[in-house]
Amino acid sequence: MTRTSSRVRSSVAEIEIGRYLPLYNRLSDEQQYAYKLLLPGLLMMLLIHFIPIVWGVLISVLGVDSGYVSQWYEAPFVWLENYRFVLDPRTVVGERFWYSLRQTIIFSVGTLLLTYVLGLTAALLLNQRFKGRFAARTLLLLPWVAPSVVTLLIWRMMFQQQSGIINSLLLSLGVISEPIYWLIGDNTIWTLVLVHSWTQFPLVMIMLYAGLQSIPEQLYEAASIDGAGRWEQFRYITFPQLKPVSAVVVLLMMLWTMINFTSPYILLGAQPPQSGQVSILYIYNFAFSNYQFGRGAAMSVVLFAIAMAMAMLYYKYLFDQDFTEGDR
Amino acid sequence: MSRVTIDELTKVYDSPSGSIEAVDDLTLAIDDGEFIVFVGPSGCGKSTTLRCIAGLETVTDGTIEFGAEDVTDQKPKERDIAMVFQNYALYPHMTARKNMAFGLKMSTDLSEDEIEDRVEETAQMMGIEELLADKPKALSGGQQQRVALGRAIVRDPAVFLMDEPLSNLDAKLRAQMRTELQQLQHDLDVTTVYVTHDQTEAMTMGDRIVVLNDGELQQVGTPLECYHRPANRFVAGFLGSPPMNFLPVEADLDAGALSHPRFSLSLSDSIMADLDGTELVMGIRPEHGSLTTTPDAHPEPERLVEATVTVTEPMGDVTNVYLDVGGESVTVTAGGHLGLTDGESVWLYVPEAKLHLFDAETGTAIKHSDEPIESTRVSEASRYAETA
Repeated sequence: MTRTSSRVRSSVAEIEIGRYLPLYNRLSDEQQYAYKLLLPGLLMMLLIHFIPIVWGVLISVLGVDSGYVSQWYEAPFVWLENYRFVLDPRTVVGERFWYSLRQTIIFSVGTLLLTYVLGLTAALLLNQRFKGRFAARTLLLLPWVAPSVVTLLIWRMMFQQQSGIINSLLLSLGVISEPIYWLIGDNTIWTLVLVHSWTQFPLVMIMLYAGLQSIPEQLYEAASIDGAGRWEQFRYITFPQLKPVSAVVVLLMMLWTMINFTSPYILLGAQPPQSGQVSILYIYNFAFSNYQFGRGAAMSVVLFAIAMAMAMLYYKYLFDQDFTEGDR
Repeated sequence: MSRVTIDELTKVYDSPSGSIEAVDDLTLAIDDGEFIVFVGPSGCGKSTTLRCIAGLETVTDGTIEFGAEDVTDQKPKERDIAMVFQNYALYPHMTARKNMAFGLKMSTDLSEDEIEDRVEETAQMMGIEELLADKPKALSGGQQQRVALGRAIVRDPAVFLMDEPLSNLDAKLRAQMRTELQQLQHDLDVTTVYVTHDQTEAMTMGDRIVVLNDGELQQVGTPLECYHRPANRFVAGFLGSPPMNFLPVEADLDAGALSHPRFSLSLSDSIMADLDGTELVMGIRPEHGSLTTTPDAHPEPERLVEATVTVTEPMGDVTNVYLDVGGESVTVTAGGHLGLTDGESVWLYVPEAKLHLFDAETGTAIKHSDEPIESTRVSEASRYAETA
């Protein structure tokens, strides 16, 4: 074991990066070794993230449309014309794009709130001592562990207006008097939030559960002696102590939901109602059904910029100021 | 302020491997304003008892009363207590000020201003005004300790509960806080239950100490009472450092002596008359033994025990001498520097009056040393008399 690892170590150490990057030689041996270990991961990131992003930005300033699909590099350079077009609310495309951005915000904020409430409730329940806790934990993780395509297709069946079980259940309980259109019309975005939250809340639950477990029991003892009841203990101990984990959860859920393609696409199909057209779905349908790659890329870059800006603002305000609040 | 009465308290924990009796039938009355120290080795039930008084553990059997009120089944917040934990348990996300104000905010109807005033007042008393705006992470161990104490004091509770509050401090700070705590308790005059495994803290701080072992009460008494009149062999061995020496002996009633394979120690008839069993354990405090290298010159040569020096530990003021007496180790604390060498033969003298005897089987004490256990403080009058 030691022999193998030392052999790996020495063969990693033999890679001569310094020959190509002179600055690299100034790093300490340990840092050099660390960079060498990071190298495969960094190359992968370059290949599947960085190059497509740069490529996308490049295409967004070229007039790539149906005439240039196979020779995109011959497309004319159009400066910011694509951006002007997709952001102009007077055009149909622009209007729909702005509307899709609005729906995207509803989708991410709605999902964030719902997953957080569901995840926190589930985590608090799991944190209690009861028989069958482990079985409950496994059961609660299922929506996230099961392949999302399967889960989403089942939800899609259940939400059918005529044959779906949800409408018939609500009808028989007398909650509604007429079948509701869940997957067409204005309700669609809320159905999307509900279903996507269902697939995502176990992740929030597991992260918050880990956070809960790291809160020292003595804080609760001290608080109960100080006269705090259950609610006060949650309000003044649990919630503040979960702040670091919550900060990460909020950021991840916001960004991941914003760029989530699977849930809207599987649930709503290739012809989604307008209410369910979140930006990523709109961009996909617009770019690939109309062969408008230049304009599609411009919209993608806008979405990317919004996501990045939000992440940065979030880091700047939340992490800088309050992150140490719940630090242990 | 409140009198605490514990009556036949029993706490049993159920575990997969069977039930564990952490506290067994403990009965104890703690006077109003008294500083009582629970002491004993790990797992003796002292912390469990404290947690039962706090209401953090449910009681299996028995009752706990504060004054005339039965609090056995009350929640911690109903009991008007304050507690200091070993690792302080300060709320990490709150400033020292908020930590101290939290209990008042939760348990009283005081206005924000009144709470603020009381926090300031207590902080001044504890000398931590400067730290009020800091969070626990920014404070040193000693400062955290003060904030934790302040958090308890500001509540002005009926009973203070302290669970090894000084264990996480370094030796110097611990000694300093020990005296400070006693002073505070004296000034505040609040009934205090203090748990420690450190017998120095027990001896120096408590009005009375409660010695526990295996969940059972061993002895309750003033520190000197427990030290000089131990109820049994456990108490005798637990209090004191270096600990009391024990040697198994047999009472030879005909010869009027205690016999050991290596020596025979003759005793007065009055003592021998009280011995009924023959299997005994003899106990000697290290400071009560003395050593001589010239047995013939000793006034009581028949009471000398021959021994071999194994190790000497000069501490400066005293020297701990470790002796071998027939294969058993005996420690003697002698004043100053003796100039003994390892392997040297010496004679150990034990004054009869200082000897402890215990029943070998039950450990119950049969004879104590005659050291005075009343307060030996020089009275004001006699001090003036000396100077005059």
